[in-house]
Amino acid sequence: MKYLALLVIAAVCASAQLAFTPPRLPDGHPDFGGIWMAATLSAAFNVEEHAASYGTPAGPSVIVDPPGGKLPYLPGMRERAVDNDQHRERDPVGQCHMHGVPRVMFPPFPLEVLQDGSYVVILTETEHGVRIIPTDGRPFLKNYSSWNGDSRGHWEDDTLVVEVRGLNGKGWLDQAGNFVGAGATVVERFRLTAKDTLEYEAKVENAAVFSRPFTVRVPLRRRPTDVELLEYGCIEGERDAAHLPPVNAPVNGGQK
Amino acid sequence: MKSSVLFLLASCGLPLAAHHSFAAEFDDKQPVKLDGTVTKFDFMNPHSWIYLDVKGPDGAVVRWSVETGSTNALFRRGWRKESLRPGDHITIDAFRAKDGSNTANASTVKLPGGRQVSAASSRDDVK
Repeated sequence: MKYLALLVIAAVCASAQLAFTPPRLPDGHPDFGGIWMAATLSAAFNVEEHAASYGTPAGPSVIVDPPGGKLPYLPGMRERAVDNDQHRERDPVGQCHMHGVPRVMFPPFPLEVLQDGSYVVILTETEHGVRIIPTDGRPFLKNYSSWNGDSRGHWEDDTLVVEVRGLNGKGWLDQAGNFVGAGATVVERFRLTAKDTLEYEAKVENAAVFSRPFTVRVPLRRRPTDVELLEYGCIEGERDAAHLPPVNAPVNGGQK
Repeated sequence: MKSSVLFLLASCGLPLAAHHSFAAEFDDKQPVKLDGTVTKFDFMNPHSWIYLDVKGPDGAVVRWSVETGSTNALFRRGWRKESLRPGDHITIDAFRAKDGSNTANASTVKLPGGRQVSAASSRDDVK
């Protein structure tokens, strides 16, 4: 009897999820507007499964492909990530640089999504990141290179698909030193799965570092309405540099 | 008033925030308890800093620089720039910097009224 009740509850929950209809803007696309933050903050510390260690909460892998949840590093590349882990002073974010895609979508700070018919804009509190994602079919900028790259979006039913090119190849994936390198491209998928849950997926291709593409998935949780983005002047109070070991490989994604 | 404002922070739902890895700069094997007098509180990003004079066993006063979380993380927990004032007597549980300087990363701060509060630092993310 108890199991029957559980089955009924599970069925009701499943049907409720299937029946979810996202709120829509006048143009018919889902309304992603609001303040969001990663529901799984452990991804900011390490995208792979990891036990708790000092300064780092335990967490599961957010890598949903390949199976097993491990980054598919080419031979020799994991050693570089381990070396980064032992020299976290190299982390570009710790030096007030931008997070880079996809890390920018799951920092331990909130972000805001704004939309109109031609753009989706993602404002990230940390480092004052601004991702302007045209959805009007315009071409990519040529020869562009930056931390968060150049994004172009389009809609596939209720999913926003964003292609990202022009990444500078210097970004880390997390605080544990996992990294992407030159030539990385990302395809992101955003989808409302519940009123307050925006599912974020990013498929990363980077043949210089990985043997195959990999995909991370992090649900973003809507923040309460009294949360607003605040100024984040990273340089102003940055006083750590004087106490860090000499940085022998700054801001290069661990590639020497 | 100060206390009532400050301890909105216990009930605030936002997780703590880390700008950089704790391990990049600080040593979890070197806890330190600092009991001293605030000389300055810089309420800013990416970390706020508490400066305090600590009198050692030999009577000598040593100036410490103690890192906390970002202004944003502290603000969302009820901290304000006037939460600490020069002359306040506080106690900080912290961890020393690896470089051996009188620099530390705070985990908790015991305020003049005796209430102990989170410093919203990278250390606290493990809780």
